[in-house]
Amino acid sequence: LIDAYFTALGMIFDPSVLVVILIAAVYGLFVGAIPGLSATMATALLVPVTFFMPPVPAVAAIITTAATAIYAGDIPGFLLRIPGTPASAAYVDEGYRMTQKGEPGLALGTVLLFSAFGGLFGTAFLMFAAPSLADFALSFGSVEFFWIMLLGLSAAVFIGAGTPLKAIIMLLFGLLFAFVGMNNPAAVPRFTMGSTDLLAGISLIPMIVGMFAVSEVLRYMVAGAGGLSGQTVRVGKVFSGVWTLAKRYPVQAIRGSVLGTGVGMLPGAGADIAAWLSYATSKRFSKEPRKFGTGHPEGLVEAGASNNSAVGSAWIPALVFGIPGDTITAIAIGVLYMKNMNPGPGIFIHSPENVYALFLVFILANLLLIPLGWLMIKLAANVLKMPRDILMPAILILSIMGSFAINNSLFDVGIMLAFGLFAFFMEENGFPLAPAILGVVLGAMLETRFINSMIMADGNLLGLVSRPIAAVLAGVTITLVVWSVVSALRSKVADVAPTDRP
Amino acid sequence: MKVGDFFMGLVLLGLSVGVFVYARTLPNPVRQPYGPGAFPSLIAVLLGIAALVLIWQAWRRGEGRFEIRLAPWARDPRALFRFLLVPAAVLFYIYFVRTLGFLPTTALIMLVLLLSLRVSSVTAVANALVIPLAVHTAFYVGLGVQLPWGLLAPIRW
Repeated sequence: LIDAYFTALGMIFDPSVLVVILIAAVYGLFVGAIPGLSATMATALLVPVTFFMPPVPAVAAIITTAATAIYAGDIPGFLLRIPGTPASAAYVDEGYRMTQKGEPGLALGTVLLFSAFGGLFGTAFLMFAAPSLADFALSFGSVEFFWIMLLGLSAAVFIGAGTPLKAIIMLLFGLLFAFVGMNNPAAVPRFTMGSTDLLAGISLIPMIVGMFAVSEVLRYMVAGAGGLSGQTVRVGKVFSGVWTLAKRYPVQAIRGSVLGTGVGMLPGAGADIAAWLSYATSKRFSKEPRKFGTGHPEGLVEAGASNNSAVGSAWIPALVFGIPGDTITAIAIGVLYMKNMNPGPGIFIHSPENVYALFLVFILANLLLIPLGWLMIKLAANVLKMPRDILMPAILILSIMGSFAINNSLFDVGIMLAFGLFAFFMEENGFPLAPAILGVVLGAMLETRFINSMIMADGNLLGLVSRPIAAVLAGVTITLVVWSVVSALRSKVADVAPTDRP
Repeated sequence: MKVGDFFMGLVLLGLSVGVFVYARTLPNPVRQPYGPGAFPSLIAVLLGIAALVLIWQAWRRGEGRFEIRLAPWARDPRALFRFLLVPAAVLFYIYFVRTLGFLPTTALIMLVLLLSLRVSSVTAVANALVIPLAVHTAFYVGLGVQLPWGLLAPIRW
């Protein structure tokens, strides 16, 4: 174990890897801080570039970008009341009130330091829990993996989404996309419509870039230029006063980290849900709940620690079972496969140094977050003025470039466009995108496990629950689905009013 | 474009039937009980069920049956134009990059998109020249991606 960690240290402290991490951190902070550009988009645009890197820096770039972009989303949130990422939506109002009270520096500094704290907490848990869980999972066969994946997907659909039915439909769409090509146990070309370009399947990178970058460009073109200019914010001192808060709210910081770590582990419930839950928890247990919503830092401490700790622990199911907790981990899992670092318990045995290197990247990214985040806050007034009218066309060019670069294929550029339009259209009709990407990433594996399990069980469906762990997992999955459906029906009866957003 | 859930459900139902029928026609070379069509058929059935629930819910809410509303932006000609520019730009790239080359194609795309967003013409021209060059340098020089030179082939570097 110690040896593997030393190898990992050597891998990380390679100058080229450090440079990649540094650039990724700056890039993540920058994109996250621009209003309207999300952490998911930052990650999606980075994927084509990681294609050209060795495995460790590639994954390091993704991890660092995600961690820093999620924090940076707080900056436009607090200063302009535009949440940069969904993860900061829970406490944007609180931070904005503090800005109005003339304390934007304190608000941003608080969330920065406690984000780093939460991130390190989540990472520590990841380092401790993932290897032991992997040990346990070594005894899993196809049947267990089939149920684990099904449990992960059900959780993603029923816990994470606002309208489960539409999330299910998008998940099934994702699975259908994964069927295209010869990538199936029998290597039969499926759903290719006679196209030789589709024999190898729909390339993942153009699909991701289309769904998460091109659709954003489309949305911006439709909404027209946003009037953000003219607002100047003086940020003031950043860290003074944060230490006082740390002494006053240590319980909140730890409670937020623990809750965030727990929520992050659940597939489908990521940083955003962790932040909402922690903000609510903080208010309920606070001695001064009335101050919440008026620019009171207590909730920021707890929720800020919470969402970043979830970012780390979301990697537990991702690394051990290959089940993504949210969109960003889904993209990251795609990168892992691309780099032949297939997630699963095996990776902890065959190449533990790679896994430990990832852990160290997490630590490094969270530590880097503090000085770079401070710099970003200081520069915030300028970054917020970045002309998005120029950025958006540039993002389109980068998307085209990235989709083209991986296979030198113009067909992939077409795929990117198709998925961009599809994502834009579906989102406009209230269908969430995240489940689709989960389906795409898990599709091939889910099918293999299902077919293997069915063949082993000799076609007897009871074979899927004949082993004890499989039976427990099946029980949990079925309970979750039934409970969700029943409670959905109950609430339908209770209020007939449509719950879908218009 | 906003499509009512009822109509969306019908489309999805049609899709699921199509997928199911297609999956049944897939050959099964390995002669196993579960061939390449088995899992897609299962997914098609689930999609069909989900579509039926969507239709049923929309029916109970009494929504417009075959409603396809244009979103507000689609009625604003300028927004609609900007929206259509994106697919047009990508298609233009796909069909012309080999002949025109990467730099001229992307410069043209940038220029049109920037002007459509009402960026001042000087800024637009400057960015249409600089940004493609920067992307080109990053991918061609930095990552070694082969990019078509097209018109600029005589002065390639």
